Amino acid sequence: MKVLLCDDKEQELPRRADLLRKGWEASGGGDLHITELGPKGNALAGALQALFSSATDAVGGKAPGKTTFDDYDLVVIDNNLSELELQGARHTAETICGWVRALSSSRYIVALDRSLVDFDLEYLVGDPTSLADLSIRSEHLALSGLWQRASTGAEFRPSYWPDLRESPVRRKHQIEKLKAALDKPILSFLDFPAEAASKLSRAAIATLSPKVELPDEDHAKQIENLTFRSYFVEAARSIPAPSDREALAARDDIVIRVVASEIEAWLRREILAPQDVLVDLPHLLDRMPFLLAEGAPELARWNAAVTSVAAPFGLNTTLYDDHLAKWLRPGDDWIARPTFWWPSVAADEKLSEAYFDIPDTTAGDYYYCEDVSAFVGVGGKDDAQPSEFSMRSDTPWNRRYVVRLEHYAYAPRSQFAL
Amino acid sequence: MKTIKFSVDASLLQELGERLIGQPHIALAEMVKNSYDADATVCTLTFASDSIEIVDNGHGMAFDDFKRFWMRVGTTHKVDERRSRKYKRPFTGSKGLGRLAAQFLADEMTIETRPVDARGIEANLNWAKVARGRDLISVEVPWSPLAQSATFADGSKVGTRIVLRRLKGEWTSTELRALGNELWRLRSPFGRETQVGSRDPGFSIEVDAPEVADARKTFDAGLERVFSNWRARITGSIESGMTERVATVSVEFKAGYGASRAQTFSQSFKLPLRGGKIVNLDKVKFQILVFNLKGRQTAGLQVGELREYLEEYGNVALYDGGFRLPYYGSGRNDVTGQDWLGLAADQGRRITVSELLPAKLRVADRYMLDLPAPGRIFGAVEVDTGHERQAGEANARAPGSWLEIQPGRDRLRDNPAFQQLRDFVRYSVDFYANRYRYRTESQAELMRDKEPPSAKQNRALETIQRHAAQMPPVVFKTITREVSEAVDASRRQEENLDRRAALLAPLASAGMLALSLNHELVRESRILNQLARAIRELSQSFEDERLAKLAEQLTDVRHRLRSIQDVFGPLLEDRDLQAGERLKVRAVVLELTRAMRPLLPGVEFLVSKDEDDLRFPLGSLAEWNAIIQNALTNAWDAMLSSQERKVHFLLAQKGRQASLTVSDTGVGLGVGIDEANRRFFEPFEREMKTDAGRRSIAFGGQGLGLSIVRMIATRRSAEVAFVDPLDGYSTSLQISWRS
Repeated sequence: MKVLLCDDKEQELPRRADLLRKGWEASGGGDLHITELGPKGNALAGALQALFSSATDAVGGKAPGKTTFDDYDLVVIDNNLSELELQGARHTAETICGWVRALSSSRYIVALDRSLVDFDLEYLVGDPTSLADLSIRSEHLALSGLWQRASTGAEFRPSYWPDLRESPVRRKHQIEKLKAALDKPILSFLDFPAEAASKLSRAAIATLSPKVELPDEDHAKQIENLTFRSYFVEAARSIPAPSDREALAARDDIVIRVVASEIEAWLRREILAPQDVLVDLPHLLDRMPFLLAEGAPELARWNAAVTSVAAPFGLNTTLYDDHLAKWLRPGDDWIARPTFWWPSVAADEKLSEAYFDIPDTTAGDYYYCEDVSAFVGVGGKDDAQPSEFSMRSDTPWNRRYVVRLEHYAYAPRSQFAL
Repeated sequence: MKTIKFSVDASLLQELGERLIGQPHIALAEMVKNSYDADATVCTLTFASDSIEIVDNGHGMAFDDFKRFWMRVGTTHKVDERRSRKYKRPFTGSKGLGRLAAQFLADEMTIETRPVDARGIEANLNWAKVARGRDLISVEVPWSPLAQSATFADGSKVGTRIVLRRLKGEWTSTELRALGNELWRLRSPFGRETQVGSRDPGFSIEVDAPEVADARKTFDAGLERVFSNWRARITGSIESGMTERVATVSVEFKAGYGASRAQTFSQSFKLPLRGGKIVNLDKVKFQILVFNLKGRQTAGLQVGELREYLEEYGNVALYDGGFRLPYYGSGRNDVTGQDWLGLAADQGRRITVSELLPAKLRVADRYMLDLPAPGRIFGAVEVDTGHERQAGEANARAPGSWLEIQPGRDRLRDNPAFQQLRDFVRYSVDFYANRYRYRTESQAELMRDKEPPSAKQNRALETIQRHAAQMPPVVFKTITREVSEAVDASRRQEENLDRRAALLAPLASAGMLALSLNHELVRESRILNQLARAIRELSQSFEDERLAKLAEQLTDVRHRLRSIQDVFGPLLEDRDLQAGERLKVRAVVLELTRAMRPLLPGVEFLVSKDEDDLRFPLGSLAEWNAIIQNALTNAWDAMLSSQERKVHFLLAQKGRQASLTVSDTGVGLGVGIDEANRRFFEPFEREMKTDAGRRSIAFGGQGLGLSIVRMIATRRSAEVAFVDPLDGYSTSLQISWRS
């Protein structure tokens, strides 16, 4: 893994590198090369100046040159870059990461310390307004959960975190596959079934295309036909000025890098967080504990199903084969974990009847806790009970739970009182 | 067993009409709605002394349709089909009421109708001849094929004409006004339009009633009252743009919209807006009305009705030589044309500063957030491509660079002239947003600058004294006394306010500083963490337990710092500052006690488990937090010398009355409950004195806590008062509200 660590404060670079190394080693280690890019010798400021002039070139129709940010798997940027010796407005990770993404061959961008919040109770995505692929606190770099999917169930590992070890590899594959697909409809490329467009929430549609109107009967059709390239022209995330986007729309390499990141972000925020179009295994079990059949009383069986990657994922084989197998969306480069088409699963009357065939009382009192990515039982020390909160979403499945680990900040806290 | 069939009395139709319709204007409106539902673009109503003719250019009916739908009572095809065949209009007519309406209005009816690709028919119905007691199915309706020469509204070969004769009631301006109010929602504000493609060109209703004075005006009043509700009017024009390069925009605000007084802002500027010197536009004129879709509307219009109407017809339309180009600002079918000014897109992006306005118009705040949505405006832009071509040629512009219609004839070619036009119109809307924000900000300034009431009253007193000679002495004396008392009372109130402000202002600044320091604490906390880690590593290398303990202590300090940050939590998150929902009382209390616990060591918190689902009135987490935080710090100060330190939160609901009672085991109020309630919620009133030895660990002490508590509670329709203490406690403060 090749990492570029950027900070405007020289003394912070080794500290952050240490944190990163600690997390990397704790999750299995392997080759890791960290390059530090700081204020010394005007290195970071120079790199940014060169990046901005590349941006001007690209918008003006000239071929942009190579950048300092090229060829890294991971670019980690401190959000506050206000001490940099650069003319004009002060910079933050947010003001530069759109152009780093568009103009460099680096794969995944992480912003550090934009907020004091550890866990996002509102949208279940982290920092919902950040333009980085992931926005975290620097202390999170040292947690093994950031670098792997597996969870111990006791340590902080938000369910919405991607696996940073795998993410750059997945991004590489996304980019390769998009090369021949820029003018193809997004939804069918992502293997969404034909009727999925009509099941998307208003927010999911608006993020994909602010121009699609609701509630118009044709909106499903418009979304169904929306291509990656037209998304690029309409979407204002990485490159905010419409004139810049229009100027760059013919540059396939730029369009691909931008849409790969943004569509993945869309999937995380609008599809995976609400769990209303696709449902992953833990949330499926939350709704249908009887799928574990005789395994339902055992907490270990619930958690085995969470991390399982092969069918039938620890679920009852008959129920899986008869009712779920056909609605499976296997994990891939866009959505790493296996998921199921929830509207189809929910419409299966026989499966709904199974609620009554298999008494729920045999299932343990377990809650999927989003802050540790694991099912947790009620009881134990002080009869601990997971804290319930209501995420901000139109989905009927907005009631969620967290263990609420000490010394971590959960916000906004009014979600606990809704 | 033998069977017997139901029969239906013919008079049932009459009875149904009277029961279901009831009023003549509703009956006639039903018949017009049928035209709308049949995709007619025009429906003409002609009122004569004893007849009404309703003609449209809708689908018309073939004999089979007539038989199936018109001649069968209770046919409900409209329930099954939700939208009209051609323009997909949502159905407006009620189930089969049109037929009943005809009978309700008149004794005789003639219907002529012809669909596309089939022969038309003509039928006569004479209700007077349908005798009571006769079975409905035996009533015969004579019909014949329609003459080839018959035409319908607008000279159309298809459509329906219904003539009602021997009317049952008189049609005066009262009925016409009621009819107008019933039908305005269906009417396109653009009048009659040319039709392009399958797009709905709108529906217009024409009224001809020579015997009723001002018939047309009376009927149109229903539609006009919609437009009388505008709050701001944007106008713009360019005259001889290719030579003079000057454009003018003007925004007129009605009184009460953004600020209390009416105001007009105008501006002239040079084109083009995005630099360069070549202007490809010559003559443009437009007007855009901005509506406020919240609150009361004038002329008895419901805000929901206005919203729906503007959703359908709102936005900015474009006319070329008087003909509307349906692509722009039209309906919901064409998204790009719908948002041709980019208003919806920019609203979605939440842009804050205009790309087009000059920097000198910068108002302090983010004015573009006041950009009106397309569904809140109604406007028309007028150009003339014929004139533009002539002007372009005369001014040696490159062919194709002036405004031109595209071959499809529904839109303009996207060329430099069109881009300049779009920028010009958009500039005016941005100018509106900018001036609206300026008005709201000036209004706020104005309120602040108001002179205090005592000064005004004093002036009144001086005036009275100047005119003492003209007044009877008793009157002068009485008025002088009354006004002097008012001046004194106002002064006392102002002094109180001043004292409060004198304390609140530095406290608020300190609060803001505390919030920003909170961010700094993170850095300090990181350093502590680094130190703790380094010392822990040293303790392992040297195997020294003392170092390990030191590291542990540092970690504890760090965690304590984190808890202090937590207390500020609700002030740092937008969502926690917004009053969007009714929050659960128990969850709010648990949140706060969790955050405050490290600051109130040794205090036992008890939260009742009853009424788990009880909710506060609408209010933000920050507000409820402030109330409970104040109650808790008071409790802490009161318990400093107590052996037992307990705070109890009791949630209760009796009928619709809900309450949260916070009780503590402190020293008590020191005065009776009535006196405490009378005095302690006033600013700077406090009874409890913290002894000198414990003052350093007490919170607050400014005497403002409870007045802040009451201020917030009152704003949220809650009451706050001391009540008889719960058993085992010395003070109980209760917040109550209607749930």
